[in-house]
Amino acid sequence: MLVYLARRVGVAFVVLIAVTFLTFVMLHLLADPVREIVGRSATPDQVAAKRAELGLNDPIVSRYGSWLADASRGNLGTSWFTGIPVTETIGSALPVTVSVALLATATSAALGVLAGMAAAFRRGWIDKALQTATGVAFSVPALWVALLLVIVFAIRLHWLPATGYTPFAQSPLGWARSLVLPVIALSLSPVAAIANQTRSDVATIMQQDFFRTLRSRGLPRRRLLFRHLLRNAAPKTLTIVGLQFIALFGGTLVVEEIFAMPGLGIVTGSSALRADVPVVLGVVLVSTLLVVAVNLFVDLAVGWLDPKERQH
Amino acid sequence: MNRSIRLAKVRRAIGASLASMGLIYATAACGAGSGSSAADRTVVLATPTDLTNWDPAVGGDDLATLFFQTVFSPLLTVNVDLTVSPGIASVYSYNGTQTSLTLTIPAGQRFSDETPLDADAVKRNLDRTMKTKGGSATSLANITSVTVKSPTEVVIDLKAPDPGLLFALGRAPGMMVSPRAFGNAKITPVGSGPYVLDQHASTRGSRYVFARNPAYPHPERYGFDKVELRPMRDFNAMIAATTSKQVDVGGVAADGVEPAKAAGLTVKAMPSNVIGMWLVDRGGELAKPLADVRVRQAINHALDADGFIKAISKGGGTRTTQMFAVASQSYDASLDSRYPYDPARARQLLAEAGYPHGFELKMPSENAFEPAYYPIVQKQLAAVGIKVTYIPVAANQIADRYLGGEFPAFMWTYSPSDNWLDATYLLSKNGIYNPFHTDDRKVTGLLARIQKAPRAQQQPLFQQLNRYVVEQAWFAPLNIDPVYITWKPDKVKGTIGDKQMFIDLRDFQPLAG
Repeated sequence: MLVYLARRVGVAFVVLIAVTFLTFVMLHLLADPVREIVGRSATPDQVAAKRAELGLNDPIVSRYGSWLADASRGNLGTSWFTGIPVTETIGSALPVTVSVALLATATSAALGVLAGMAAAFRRGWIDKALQTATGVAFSVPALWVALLLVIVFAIRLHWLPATGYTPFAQSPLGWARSLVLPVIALSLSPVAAIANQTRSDVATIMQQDFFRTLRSRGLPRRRLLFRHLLRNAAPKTLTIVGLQFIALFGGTLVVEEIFAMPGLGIVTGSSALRADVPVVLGVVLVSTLLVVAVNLFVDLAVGWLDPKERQH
Repeated sequence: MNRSIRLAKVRRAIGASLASMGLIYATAACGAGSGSSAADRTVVLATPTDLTNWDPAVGGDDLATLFFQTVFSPLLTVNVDLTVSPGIASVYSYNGTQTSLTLTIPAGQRFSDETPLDADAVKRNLDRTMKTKGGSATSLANITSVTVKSPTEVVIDLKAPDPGLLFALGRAPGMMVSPRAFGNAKITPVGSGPYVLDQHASTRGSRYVFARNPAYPHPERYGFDKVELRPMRDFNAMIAATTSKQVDVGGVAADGVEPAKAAGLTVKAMPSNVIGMWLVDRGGELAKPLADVRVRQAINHALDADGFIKAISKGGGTRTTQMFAVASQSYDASLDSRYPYDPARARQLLAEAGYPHGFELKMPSENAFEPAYYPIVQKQLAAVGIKVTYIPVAANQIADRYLGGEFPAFMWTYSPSDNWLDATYLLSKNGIYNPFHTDDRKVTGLLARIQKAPRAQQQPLFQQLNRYVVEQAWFAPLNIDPVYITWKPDKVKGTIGDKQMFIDLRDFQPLAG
């Protein structure tokens, strides 16, 4: 297990270096932030001075090296535009995105597993209804769902806020209210993905000899369901849930824009547009770390649930 | 731990999660929509952008000014009709050569942290702004020195007359920050404005809450006890927040005007932006035909401004041929009929200029701002023989590439403000919006005369300049595209003039009682 962990951490480190370096190079090639910082009417001397101050005249590899050295000590620098430390910027935006992504994943997992099991177990019209519903859910974009939810629940019914985010510490109820519509908008497609996966896995297991035997022995339905069926289907479903969380984490920008939530998507978008290199790199680093951690967690959980996987 | 216990734990965890999620959804759906009630004297305003940082010395646009004016007071006040009146400085006057501006700072003014706001604080602010890299320093570039004559008098000496200085002192460059807060000015605003930022109640990027500043000397000018600014970058978010009445003051695009009215909101159009084609290569370096004024005039005749207004602005814009603000002293309504849509006249002008079969023109296109214009512009210019080829440009490269002289012409949305600033930016040889450095003797002469003239005598000169530029067809402006401001009439009394181009916090007051 230790070797496995060490290997995964090693791979994660390589991924981190590759992703941050590529981001660094792309930011360098795509945009010049100095004009934005000093103003369009600044003199060439002012531009040159700012360029030197930011170290933009140094070779790109040396600049990246300096950033990496600082980052390894936990210093992600300060935004070139806002003057706020990057860790603080990420610290205030991360809870928003994580709240949305986690709740959307949890909602999708709960509903998807239940729907998938019901479809596989009951078959008949439930299965057909699920197939139709997942087809629709896959084809409807989150953006459209979000707008529809806003029109119905915020503009028409006034039940929930159309925009904004309230931190949990400020008001737990306000926090929950601000998350309902974004979470529903984001959950639709993942629910469909998880339901399909669960249905397929459960249906396959139900065809297997060991399950038929257990069923013929007359084991209690609950035990059959949770102990034998769900446990055997769990590894693949868990993998899908992990992938959905990563996709949701990266895909929250749309709902953050529509619901005016100050999450990582908004921070990344606005920082990338003006080439605020320290902030973009900080976000990329944290996001990559999170993705690597979730993948590792899923792998370990799958190994725990399925001894065969552990041997692999 | 055996497997059954582990599975039981998993089941309990799932159950608990489901229960808590159910609780979240159930509790979250309770209660009516948010926003503020009429009784609490709180006004919630939506803004289309977030503030980059709180330091006015760095600078900012009109939207940043809305943030700044909650916590900072400017040395002078720029009124919504673009006139200037006293601010922190109760009296201001130039010397005979317009190179020395004396400001009187009444005694007894204080910042919200109790630091005295006197002539010394003014000097320290202006000195700091001039040294800070950003747009504000550029606006003060003509200042040679700031001298404290007494605690209530400060003198600003200039290299040369600067007709834009008074306007600048009423915007971000003139906003005074407490000298004790200089070190953290980007993050924590401490000023002498009507409100103070409530950091605890605010969430950066989402909600900025302001409470009254007890030290502000004119609280009667601002009727609300609490102000909330909520940035919404996405226009759908803004429309949703506005029509669901989550915010008291907001904005909508042309598409949102009818839904906003149907939701019971008052909607007012502000003539804020001039959309049009900029014919910047007037020397013909990249596109030789553009050096001929007849070709530039032909382009003006070839574009159907009324058609654009109907098709894209949903009838909400106003056709124009001018780059200056409607409310400004340069604006001349009679010039707006100078170039009627007339393809036949355009073809005739092109033929007279030696291009009877038109010519090819390379222009940039983008998806961020006005994508709907490009195909129509291309079609209408093709109708008179000008074949436009578009080169796509990424949103974050627009300013650099357009203003770097890479294209002979481009589409641009411009927000005019003070006449002198617009004239120097757009028309002067080294103006930032004059990428090919067009140097016209008449324009230069008029700018020199305006620079030396007292403010009261500038109007006829500005109008002459405007007329000349329109006649020379330096631009092909299409329409004044409005920004629509909305407010709840049962909560807010809004006062926005027909020619007003930007909002001021004082435009919105609570209903009487």
